[in-house]
Amino acid sequence: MNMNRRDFIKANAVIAAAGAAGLALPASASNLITSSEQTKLEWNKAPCRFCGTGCSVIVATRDGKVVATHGDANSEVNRGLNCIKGYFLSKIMYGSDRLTTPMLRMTDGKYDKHGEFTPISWDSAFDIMAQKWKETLKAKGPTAVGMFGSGQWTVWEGYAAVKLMKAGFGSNNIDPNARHCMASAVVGFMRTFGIDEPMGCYDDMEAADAFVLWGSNMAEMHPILWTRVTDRRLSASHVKVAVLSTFEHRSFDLADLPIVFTPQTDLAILNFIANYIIQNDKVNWDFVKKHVNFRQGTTDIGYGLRPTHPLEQKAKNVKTAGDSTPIDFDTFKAFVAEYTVEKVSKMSGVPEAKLIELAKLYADPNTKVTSFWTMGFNQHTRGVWCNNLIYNIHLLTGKISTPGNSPFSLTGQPSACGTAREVGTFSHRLPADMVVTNPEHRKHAEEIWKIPSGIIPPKPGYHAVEQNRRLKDGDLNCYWVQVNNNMQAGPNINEEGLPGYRNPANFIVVSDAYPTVTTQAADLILPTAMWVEKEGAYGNAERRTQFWHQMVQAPGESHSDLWQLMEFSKRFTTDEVWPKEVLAANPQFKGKTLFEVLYKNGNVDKFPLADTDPKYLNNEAKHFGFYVQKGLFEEYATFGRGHGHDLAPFDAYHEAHGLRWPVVNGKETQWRFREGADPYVKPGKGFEFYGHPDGRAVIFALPYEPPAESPDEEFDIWLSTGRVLEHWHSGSMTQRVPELYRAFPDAVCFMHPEDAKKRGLRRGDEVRVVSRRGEIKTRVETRGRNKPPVGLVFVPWFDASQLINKVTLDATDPLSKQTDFKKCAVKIVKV
Amino acid sequence: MSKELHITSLVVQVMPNKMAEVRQHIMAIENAELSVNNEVKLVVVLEGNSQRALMDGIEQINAISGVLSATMVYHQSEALEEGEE
Amino acid sequence: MKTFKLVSAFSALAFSALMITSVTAASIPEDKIDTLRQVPIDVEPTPPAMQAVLNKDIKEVRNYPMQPPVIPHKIDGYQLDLKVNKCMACHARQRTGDSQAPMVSVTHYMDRDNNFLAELSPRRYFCTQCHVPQLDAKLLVENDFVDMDHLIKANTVQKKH
Repeated sequence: MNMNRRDFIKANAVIAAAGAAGLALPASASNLITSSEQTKLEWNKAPCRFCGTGCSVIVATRDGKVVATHGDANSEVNRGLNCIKGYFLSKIMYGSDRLTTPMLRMTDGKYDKHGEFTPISWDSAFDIMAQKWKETLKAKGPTAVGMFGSGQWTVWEGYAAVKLMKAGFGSNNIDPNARHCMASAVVGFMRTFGIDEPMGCYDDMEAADAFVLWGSNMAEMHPILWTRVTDRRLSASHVKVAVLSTFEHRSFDLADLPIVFTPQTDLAILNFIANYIIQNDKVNWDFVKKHVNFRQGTTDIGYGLRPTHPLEQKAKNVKTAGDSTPIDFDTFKAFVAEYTVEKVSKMSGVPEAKLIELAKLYADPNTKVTSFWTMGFNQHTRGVWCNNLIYNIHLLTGKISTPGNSPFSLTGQPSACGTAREVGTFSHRLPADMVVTNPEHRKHAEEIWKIPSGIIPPKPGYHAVEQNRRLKDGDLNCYWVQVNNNMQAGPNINEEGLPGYRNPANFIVVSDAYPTVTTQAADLILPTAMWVEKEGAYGNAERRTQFWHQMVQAPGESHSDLWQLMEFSKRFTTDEVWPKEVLAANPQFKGKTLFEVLYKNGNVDKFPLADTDPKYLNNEAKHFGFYVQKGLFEEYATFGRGHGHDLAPFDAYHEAHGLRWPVVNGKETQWRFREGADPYVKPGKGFEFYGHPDGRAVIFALPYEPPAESPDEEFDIWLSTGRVLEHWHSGSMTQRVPELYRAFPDAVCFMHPEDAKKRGLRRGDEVRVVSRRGEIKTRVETRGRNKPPVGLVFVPWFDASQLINKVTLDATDPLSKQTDFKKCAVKIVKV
Repeated sequence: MSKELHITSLVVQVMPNKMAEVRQHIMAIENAELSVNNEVKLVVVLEGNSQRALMDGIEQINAISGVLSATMVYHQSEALEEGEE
Repeated sequence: MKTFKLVSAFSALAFSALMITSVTAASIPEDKIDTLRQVPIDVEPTPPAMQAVLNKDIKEVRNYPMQPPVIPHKIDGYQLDLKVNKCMACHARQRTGDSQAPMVSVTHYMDRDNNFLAELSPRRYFCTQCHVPQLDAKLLVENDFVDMDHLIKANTVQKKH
């Protein structure tokens, strides 16, 4: 072997290590580049790390580093395009402050809730965690331990976490930050269709004649889907775009019909459209008679606040909020009749002509309409109702499940659908739309998991907002946060989140790749591998499941969430966590570790290490000695196969650029519930909403009800929060990419120039944004991309130094428990 | 009969006041080579004919007084054909 | 000659050896841990003054060939909507003679199915989805991304004793 070759390997080794250590190599190192071997890059596919669109990207690696990314030309989702964030994916893993070692708050070598973050080994980290968990489980039982994850967990990470919590610790206190994101969409789907997730797919965009955006700024939040809408609008002159929001934003640039409405009156506008369709005899009777039931929902359901809050005490039907009773069409007709154009125009501030123009898009039988919504609907104290009401309109007109006719709920996280919803990482859920409250569902899960019956508790655990309240109250004491930044993302952190994390009775563990505000409030920080530093799977908003391989190593001692969950499970035996009577009845489980009963159960460890592709890294498989990801996925997939949630075999996803479930006989499904497109619809049915036993979807009679908090004399202006194009969520990744940071470095308070003038403010002035709960300091922006009407301000939440969630209210939809981040009352005070 | 060549690189964390001493020690290890460093981090390349040999090298480095940690970043193994060395 | 890499198999093995070594690097106080904040959570820092847009019209080197270039000038008040695309007034092929601005990439004339169009592809119409101006803001944290050119050049690095 010649020396050049050996030196070449050594040089690679040095570059990798120097890169990992952040050391520069001397410039003298540059030399001849002659062979193509030396300039070659490895290219592999991966879904984007950011939003729920699920673009596919091609990632170039060289010498253990990601060196470039570009849009995947073979992906149906994005066909070679990325948004600005996606184009900079190459740099998200290389912020110089990556966490590389576990860190525990310590004073004088001992754990101290008020100590400084001190590097410790993984062994010591798990030691203290296990000690705290065991003490708590012994003293207070499984309801005092909890976990908060996210729609950014890979499919198998979320699945492993659900197993650890529900089947291991016997606690339902696991919830994802997807609760903040699309819980209302989920409950909307379950109520109307009895099965979760959109019936349509992105191909609807090339077929639609009209698009209606309901509280969705796709131009900034789902930019690649917006390119498809733009493409369609500009390519076909008859196509119309309507954009509804409480303030004007970038999506209005494409709007034929721009509509700014008073917060909360979307409920009234939706009912007006239903009324218009009925009054103008545009009901699709053939469809309605065959495929629809009518029901009246319970009203006056409260605002998901603490039970002691006056609004909860005043509300009549908090306990029965989800109930409904059957009605007939005439009752529904009478119910919506009060939502006349005159009345709704007055309520919403939208001119009558615009309301009618909007209603006509839906009413015209020859116009194929795709409705999009995201946080404007979902982050709403009546978010589930909004979802139900938009389905009403599509069901009355039969505009559903056919190309271009699509009520389409978009999602914010890369695997909000694939992990949070489909795996069921919610406090009340199990995989494949099953729930812990149903004994049959629990039994089925316990059978698949090969654990004794009686382990999964029947009572739902604490949901996201409740977790922070229970931390504060001292009911939840051991808490593990993975893949999210809830101290920045959660509502009302001043009164609930921060006191909860810093409650001396609690031990808070946070796994992250970067230091965040949440790690700042933690007691133990675990350094975590991200994105292509591990093998993963995400599921996007159109039911498309996408896989990727591990391409590079995470820095320092970082490990994936999956490794962390499974390693931690080795620290517990069944005797320490399972009920005595269950173990007595099933003595073969005695003395086993949770690792053995959850992950070495004959399913998860079914596929040997040899099944992994030798071309790629796989730290977890090598560490545990079997193909962990495949075992977890295949066990998980047994929940959904044959039940309308069919996933393809594991290996198929490493080949395909994503497949949309249900995948039956190797074929993906584009449109569900329609004969010919969906294999689950029985021949001769035409349409079948098989989520409900009678195959019918539900149209709900639900009224307008006021928001939890409205501006008054003191707190005189609406606050809406949200995102910006260049930053994803709390900015923990994108704020570390210089180009994205410089594009939008600091949060600002977008404000109407008249509102600024009234308060003696000019652009750039420092102000306090103050609510009844807390305040932040920011600067006034009267120009730029967001143009709020008089009476409303918009502050984005990506900025760790301007925590707008100190100001927001933790009012939630009582059904979905999702927070309304779009409406609370504040005042703006000059500093 | 083929032989193996293993090459790995490590990031070694060193107490700043011990950097010079640690470098001396590592230079004395037969199959180790020093690369760039700053005041607390040092890049080392190890070469050997088996994984075991590299493990031994890592253990030796870990045992040096002043070394806080040695983290392996890169490893490549090559199958050498007869006549190559 | 047969070549194969076994990077992570060995990592896992080596790891158990490394865990024995105690790590005693310096500890970090709570309010210094979050690089992007640097103050206690219950304290409100003064927001930095609004920065100006870098407006020098000097191209910035791209991190990799496929990166969309950032905009080296102000775009305040540019109309970019259903009616007008102000960016194309300089960057369209026919305009670059007068404007001396760079022409948009040829990819921008291709539709979703990779057919070439006479005009800007409608799917690329909203320029700011990929191209953004840069403000004169001080970075809160450096990025250690390594340009592939550096890696390739450094491949020939010699032994350093």
